[in-house]
Amino acid sequence: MVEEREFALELEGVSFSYPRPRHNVALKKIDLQIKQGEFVALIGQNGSGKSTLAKCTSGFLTPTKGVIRVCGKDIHKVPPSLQARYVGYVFQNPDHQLFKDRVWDDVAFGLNNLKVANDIVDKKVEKILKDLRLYQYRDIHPHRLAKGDKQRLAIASIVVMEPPVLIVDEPTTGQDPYKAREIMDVLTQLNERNKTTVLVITHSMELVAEYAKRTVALCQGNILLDGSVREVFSRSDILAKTFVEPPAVVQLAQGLGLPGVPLTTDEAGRALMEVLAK
Amino acid sequence: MKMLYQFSASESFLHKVDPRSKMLFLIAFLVALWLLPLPYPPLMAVGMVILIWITAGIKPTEYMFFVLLMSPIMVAVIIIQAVTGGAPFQPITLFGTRLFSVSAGGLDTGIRVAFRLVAMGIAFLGFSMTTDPFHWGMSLYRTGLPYKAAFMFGFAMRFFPLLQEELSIIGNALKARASDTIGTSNPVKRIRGIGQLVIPLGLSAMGRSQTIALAMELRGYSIPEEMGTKRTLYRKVGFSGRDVLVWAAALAVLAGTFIKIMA
Repeated sequence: MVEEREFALELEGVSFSYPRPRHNVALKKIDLQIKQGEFVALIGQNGSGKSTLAKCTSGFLTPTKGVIRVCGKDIHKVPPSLQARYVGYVFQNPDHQLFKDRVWDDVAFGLNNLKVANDIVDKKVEKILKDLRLYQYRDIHPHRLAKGDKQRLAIASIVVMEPPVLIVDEPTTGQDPYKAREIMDVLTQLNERNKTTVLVITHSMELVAEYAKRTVALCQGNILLDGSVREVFSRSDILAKTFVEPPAVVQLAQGLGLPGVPLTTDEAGRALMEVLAK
Repeated sequence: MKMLYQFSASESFLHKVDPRSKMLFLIAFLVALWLLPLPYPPLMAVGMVILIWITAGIKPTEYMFFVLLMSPIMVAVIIIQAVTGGAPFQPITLFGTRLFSVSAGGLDTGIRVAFRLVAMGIAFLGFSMTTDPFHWGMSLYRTGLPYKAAFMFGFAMRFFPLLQEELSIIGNALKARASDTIGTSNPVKRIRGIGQLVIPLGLSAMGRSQTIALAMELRGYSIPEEMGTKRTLYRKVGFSGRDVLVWAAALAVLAGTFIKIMA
């Protein structure tokens, strides 16, 4: 059983350099604390260190310097087969993470490894497949699914294990806006219902605005901005350093000089009405 | 740390030598390695490490993983030979107390074979780390191999490190699903883990090769054959003064070996 603590993730002076031939410093003395139950978006240009940070946090990469604690435990001192109890990681490419020959069995695979009782496995698998609209494919070979469905299956396979910390690397790539929202809704449910700490790496600023509570922007291995979504999107001048533009609605509101930082069209509409009423 | 067979571009002496010359030297080295008795095989292994370091600028730490991977095989070979070899027997003592006896001839053979294996591995590693797979393929084309066969050969060599990287990602994905088959010392679990890795690796490799084949055709890969025109090479593939030096070194190794044997 993983112990409950104030901070789900604590990174202290974390640096990481890739060896030759790639040789580059991907993370530079990162200090970051994420509370239990937070929903955090990790943003930044390609190569800014997002995935490296996520892989270090999951225990797949060992930092060159620094310590990473997940739920109070130094994740790099936890045996590999037990790391999944602390942190779940959904990779970008679903083809790398589907191991079984039926969708149902693939989702059950992680729970079986965790020695969950079969009747509970069945209930959890059924629920997650229904939540992610994959239930009708339950007897199909995972590799026969369309790419978007495979991506949702990969997410389902990790989410079903209900890790206290969940890291999802670009979950909405290749998804239409409707399916992208479905995925984000599942992550939100998990975050709200189970108090799962969710860390999402994404380039979709619209989804960040809609779902995340906190945003960490990375640039060349450093934390450029860290704060609430509104705070971060209000600093478009700094965000430009990592080639990130706030969502169109934020840019429009900034252009019109509306007060605050409206994150949705509804909020922007209300802000506009207030200005007009004055 | 370097993945096995992973080439990285550099301007070093060894990188610039034609693959055919490197192969010639490699063959001369292997002949010497298998003909010379102890203490030459361990010395040649160390010599190859130094040669790669000096002529290619690749430190041994970069391929230490390979040596570590080989060490259990080396130990096993030495033990098997020492236990199964014939007389004369040599007593093994600890603080003056005789523990057991091993075959003196078997021990000699075991050490010789173990170091030959590791020296061979390091030599092949040195070759692959300094030879662009396509350059290798194209040099074979220049030697008379049909273009498609040469290209396929170079491509297969390029594919190998990609497969290793993919294997590592899939291994991590297995860990993410709480599988205890990765990184375990239990051989049965490890074999089960390999079984789990094979499906995604195979499917991913097939998918990737189909996509690449299609992308190559879209860029006109088969046009010269279809049009009946001769292929030209963008990069120069040929011998230079460096290659003459390497040929001379290969000849010197062979000559030295035969002189030593005859003596």
